[in-house]
Order: sequence, then C-alpha cells, then structure tokens
Amino acid sequence: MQFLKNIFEQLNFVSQCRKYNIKMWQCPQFLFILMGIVIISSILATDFVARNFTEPEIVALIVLGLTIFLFIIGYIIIKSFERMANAARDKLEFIRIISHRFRSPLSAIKWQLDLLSNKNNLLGSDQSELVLWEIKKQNDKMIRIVNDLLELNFIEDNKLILNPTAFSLKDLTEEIIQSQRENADKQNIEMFISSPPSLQPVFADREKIKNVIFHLIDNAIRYNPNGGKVTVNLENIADSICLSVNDEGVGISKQESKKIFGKFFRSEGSLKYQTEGTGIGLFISKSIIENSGGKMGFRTIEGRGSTFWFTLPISR
Amino acid sequence: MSKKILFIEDEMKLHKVFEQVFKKEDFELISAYDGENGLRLAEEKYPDLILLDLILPKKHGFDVLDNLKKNPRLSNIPVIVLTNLEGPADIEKALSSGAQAYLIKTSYSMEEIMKKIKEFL
Repeated sequence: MQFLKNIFEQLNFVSQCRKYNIKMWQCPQFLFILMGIVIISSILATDFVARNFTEPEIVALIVLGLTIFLFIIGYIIIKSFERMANAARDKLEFIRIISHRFRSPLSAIKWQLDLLSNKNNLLGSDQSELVLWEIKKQNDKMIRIVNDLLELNFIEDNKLILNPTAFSLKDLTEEIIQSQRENADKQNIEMFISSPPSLQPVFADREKIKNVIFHLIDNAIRYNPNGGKVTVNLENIADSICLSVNDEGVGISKQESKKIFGKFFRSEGSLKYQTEGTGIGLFISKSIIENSGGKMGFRTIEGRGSTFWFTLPISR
Repeated sequence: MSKKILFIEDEMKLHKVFEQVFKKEDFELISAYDGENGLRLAEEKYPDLILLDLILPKKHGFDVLDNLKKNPRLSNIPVIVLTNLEGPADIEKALSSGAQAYLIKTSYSMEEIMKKIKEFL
C-alpha cells in the first residue's frame, strides 16, 4: 500500500512542483508523463493513419514530426536536470564562501577571548575594554551575515515581508554614512552626500532599505582604492527618489556585468584576493527594491569606478 | 632594542589583536594589509620575523613567500604562515617554499602562536 502511495505521490506533479518551488515545464515528473502520453498516442495514431491512408510518405512525415517533438521535450528535461545540478554546485560553493567568511571574525574573537581569559597575562590591564569592544563589533558583523542569509532564504521562498512607512531617505543615508565613517577612515576614503535641500519622503520598509544602502556603501568602500572617494547622490525623478552610490574602484567588466545581481556573485578574483563579502548583498538588495516598487541598476567604466542606483516611490 | 615583527594580513581586526599582545611583549608591530606592501615593508624595515597570511589582495601569500626566499638579503628572516587554508597541499607547498611554520588560524590559541613566534626570534 505504502509503495503504491509513494508512486502516486511521485506522479502527482502539481504537488511536486509546489514542493520544490519550480515551474510545471521544469518538473521532470510532468515532462515524463507528457512524454509517455505522446509516445503512446503517437504509436496508436501512426498505426491508425498507416492502416487507413496507406501512403508511406505521410506516415514517415508524421513519425518525423513526433520524433522532433519528443526530442524537444527530452532537451527540456536535460536542461532542467542541468539547472538542478548547477544549483547544487552553487550551494556547495556558497557554503565554502560562507564558512571562510565566518572564519576570519571567529579567529579574531577566539584570539581576543584568549587574551581576556589567559592566566599568563598577554594583555596590559588597561586594554581589556578595547578588546571587548572589538569582540562586540565582530559579533555584530556576524549577526549581519546571518541576517542576510535568512533574508535570502525568505526571498527564495517568496516569503519576503515588507512593512512600508514614510521616511526620509536623506536622514537614513546620513545615519549609515556616520556608522561607516570609521571603516572608511581606515582606508583613507572620503564620503560625501549630495542632495537637494528639500526632498519628499519615500514609502518603503525602512529597515530593509537601510540594509540595501548599507550594502551599497559597504561595497563602494571595499572596492575603492586607498584614498578614493565615495559619493552618495539623492535626487527627485518624477514620482520617485533616486539614490546612487558612486565609487572610484576598478569597475566591473562586461562579462561580470551580466551576473552582478545574481546570487552568490563575487567579482573576479575577489574570492582569491579579498576575503570579505558573501556575494548575496546585491541579490538581496535588488529583490527588496523591486518588491518595494522601485528599480535598481548600475553603470560602470572599467578602471574608473561604478555607480549603483535605485529608485523608491515617493510617499503620498 | 625591541624585536620587529611584520604582519602581512588583510583583516584589520587581526592587526589590532596582535597590536594588543605585542605591546605587552614589547615587540614592534609592522602592519601590511596586502602582499605588495608586505614585500616593500620587508625590504624597508628588515623585520626579525614575518607573519604571513596566504589569501591576500594584490599579491598572493605564496608569491610573497617565494619573493622573500629568493631575495638573499631577506631569505633568512623566519616566516610563519598564519592562515585559514588547511589543505595538505597548501601546507606542503608553504613548508617546501621555506616557511618555518604553518599555523591554522582557527585551531591555534594566542598563547600557542606567541610561543611559536618566540621560538624563532
């Protein structure tokens, strides 16, 4: 009984599609059943046609047509398997990046805890407060990574929940720039904000948008050379406010441009030469902006810098 | 005179940790945040020991190690690789290129690292 039930469950492609969150034509179960039906009916039809209209040319044509049709379905099935294999490989790669990403702050915290707890006194007596503060900062960073991962999960599952309110994009940007100031100072990067004196509030989820702006500014700082500039521009365009973040970094090559908003994307060589970043910030950002009724994009000149921008609707 | 230790590592926080420990031991910390800068500072300051990460911007740690060991003036400075790469191939490569020790960040405590540093000073 259980065996039959299992088979029936496998054949119930509607629930299978829902379970794996894929479209009908990407679902192998559906495609196999479709293929089976086509094969059976084409055998019967060819037999029928061959009996009643005995011209072999026509029969041959029908068989040829059906073969092409089956071939196309076969191709779609192979493609959908390929997509699944790719997804599985991306996930593996992602786990590798994330684990590496966690190891750096974790080693720092581990060593700092060593400093605080060791008996041989590796640390001067006045330094423990500083160490605690550093630990706290790294902890915050890891919390942010985990939050991004959860956000990614919600987006993938189509369960992103937004709580829009009216707020000033300018105030929010200034708040984020303030919190990133120390980070930028370390790399000698100057940050500017330019905005018209009066700007209408936007209508969106403030916390989520804060995360988006944070990612854009964080990227701009990380990909900027020492001594570069980061400029945040706010302007009113029709019924929306456009925010753009400009850096003077290496820019993005044509090849990379196509993939930049993809999941897990990291700039070429960034994995090898730069340990920061998870490759999900821009993907999350774009999903949040598009779900808030805005648009997101970028322009870049290789070797000169990039500008990432998004728009949000004005509050009415 | 206090011993000079060059730390080549792109993660700022780790420099801070070592700064705190070295202060107590009276070692002088020289910080380099990428491979190229690390090599330049090795030439300039002629440190007593080099702590080297492998995944570095601009120049990979293995290239830095090669350049250090090829330079007759710098080749006898002890190099301790301090990284999170833990593949046996990486360890083998670093040691055969002339690194004195290979420490994996997440598995060594600060005390163990300090002990290793003092061993080579």
